[in-house]
Amino acid sequence: MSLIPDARRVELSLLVFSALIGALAFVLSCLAGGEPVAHATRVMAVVGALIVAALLMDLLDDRRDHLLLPLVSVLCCLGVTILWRLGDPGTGQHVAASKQVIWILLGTALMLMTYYGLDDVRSLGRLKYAAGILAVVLLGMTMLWGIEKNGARLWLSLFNFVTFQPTELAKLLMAVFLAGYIADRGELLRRTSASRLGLPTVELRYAAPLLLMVFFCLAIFVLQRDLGAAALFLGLFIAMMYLATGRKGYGVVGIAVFIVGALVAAAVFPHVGDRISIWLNPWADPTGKGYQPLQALFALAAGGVTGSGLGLGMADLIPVAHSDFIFAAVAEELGLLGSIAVLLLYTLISFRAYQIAWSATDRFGALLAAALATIFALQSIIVIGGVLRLIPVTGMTLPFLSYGGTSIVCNFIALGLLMVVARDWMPAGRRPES
Amino acid sequence: MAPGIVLVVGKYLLIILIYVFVIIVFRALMTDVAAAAPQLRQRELPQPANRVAQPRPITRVAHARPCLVVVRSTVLAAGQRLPLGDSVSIGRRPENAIVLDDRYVSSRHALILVRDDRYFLQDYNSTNGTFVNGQPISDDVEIHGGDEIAVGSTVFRFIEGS
Repeated sequence: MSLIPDARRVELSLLVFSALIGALAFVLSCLAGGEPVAHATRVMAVVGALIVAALLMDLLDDRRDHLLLPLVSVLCCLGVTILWRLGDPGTGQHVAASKQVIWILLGTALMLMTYYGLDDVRSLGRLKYAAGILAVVLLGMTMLWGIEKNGARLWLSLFNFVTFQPTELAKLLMAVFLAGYIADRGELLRRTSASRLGLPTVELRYAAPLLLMVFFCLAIFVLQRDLGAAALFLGLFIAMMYLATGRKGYGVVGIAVFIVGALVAAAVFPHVGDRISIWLNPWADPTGKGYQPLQALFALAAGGVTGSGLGLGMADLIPVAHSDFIFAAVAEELGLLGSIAVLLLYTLISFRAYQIAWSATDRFGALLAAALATIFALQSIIVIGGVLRLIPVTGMTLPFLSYGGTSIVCNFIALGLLMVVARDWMPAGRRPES
Repeated sequence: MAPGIVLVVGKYLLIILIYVFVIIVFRALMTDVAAAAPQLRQRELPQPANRVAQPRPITRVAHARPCLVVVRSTVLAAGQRLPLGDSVSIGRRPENAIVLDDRYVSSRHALILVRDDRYFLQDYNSTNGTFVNGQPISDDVEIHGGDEIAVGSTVFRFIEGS
């Protein structure tokens, strides 16, 4: 993957650079809040863990991707800083920021385990049906026994001990399933037969397992009233079909299906209908349902071009600012320039992931990397679009920035998978001949 | 030290630092893109045979003989064309028709056979395997125009004659 000879050195310098950014951000918010600067050890722990991870991964292989970790490092540092600055809702303590650091450390460890444990990415491709079925089962369990928060059932409790968001795990499993299925059957999906309407359509018997799995997921999301996840999964499916067949028509059909589906969902489920009417006119109920999007808009406006400065805004007024609406806090305190920079960081992560996809020689690896790249891109577009009132608000986390154990851990596993694909770009294994 | 000034300077410094970071990463990214660009162009060149319905332009005559094009390799030049005769052996040792001096290639690695204008690829139980379109092959497989054949670090694209 690495075509720059001193890629390792570039990565380490960039990680140190990200530590500098994180430290400056954290110290600024400490100064603004009149707190001791020593709290900045939190961001140092994050970057320290990532540097250790980078060095450990170098032991295994030298053809590793060298740009993803520094990008993620900056986002994680900014996320921890903003969580610390927001404090916990109600108490004003900083437990969320400290827990987030622990999640990031755990995520880093799981990324390392993925990198070390997965010798050949193709072995993951063989588990495609297991992954697909597990995704559907997880989502089904959430529908039946999930815990409802804010009108949507997105949480599953394990032995009443840990709660986690199955959607985050399901998106990884779905990426494995779609990549594995299309790597096997891509040729067949490309074959078309004329339908009754005279339009070329995919032969149904080859596409059926794919359609079935996607249909199950979408049905569950609709029943869970989780429009954001539905949009993410449908978008992922369309992108993968486009990659498999090279037909742009899927995009048009997919968007049409989504709009029709969303309208039906809005008519049938009051929760979805509410979100759409709030989106169109948040002023109808400014102190109730419209409160959150309006506070986000006020935050965007208050931020202006350069922002209020970390810790100096009033981002703590936005409900759920620590997870779904964290972008509003970024926009208020770092301003337009800062929020564009965050958008650029997401763009670079997706760009790099697509680059890994097109450099991969193994078809499954390439499709998996493309799926993960699409997930990162779509998820950030859907969440940020919701905060900016470009699209209706949907409850999802912003990768690496929002508070959330499942989200952080799953995104780090995705990062590990991307690095495995970047490493395995040579089709033959790593067993030199004599 | 006036904290107000520190906070304002720090705010601008933070934004500048993030942008400098973004620019450095972007440039590193584009270096990789530029390095990969010749390979990408190579990949797009040959179309799968079933897509080419219209009569071939005259310039295509030069490539009318079946051949392997090197898509990328650590031992051969990308874009190099290797004509195919009756049967072509691929391996690390010099007696092969296509010699790949690559640690990941077995001494006798694979064989391409021609029967009645159809092309078949066979793997000689090589250590690291032979791949067609990313899939390892076990038995003889027929190869078609546009298929990618990977042996060690080298990827060929098979181009059918016309």
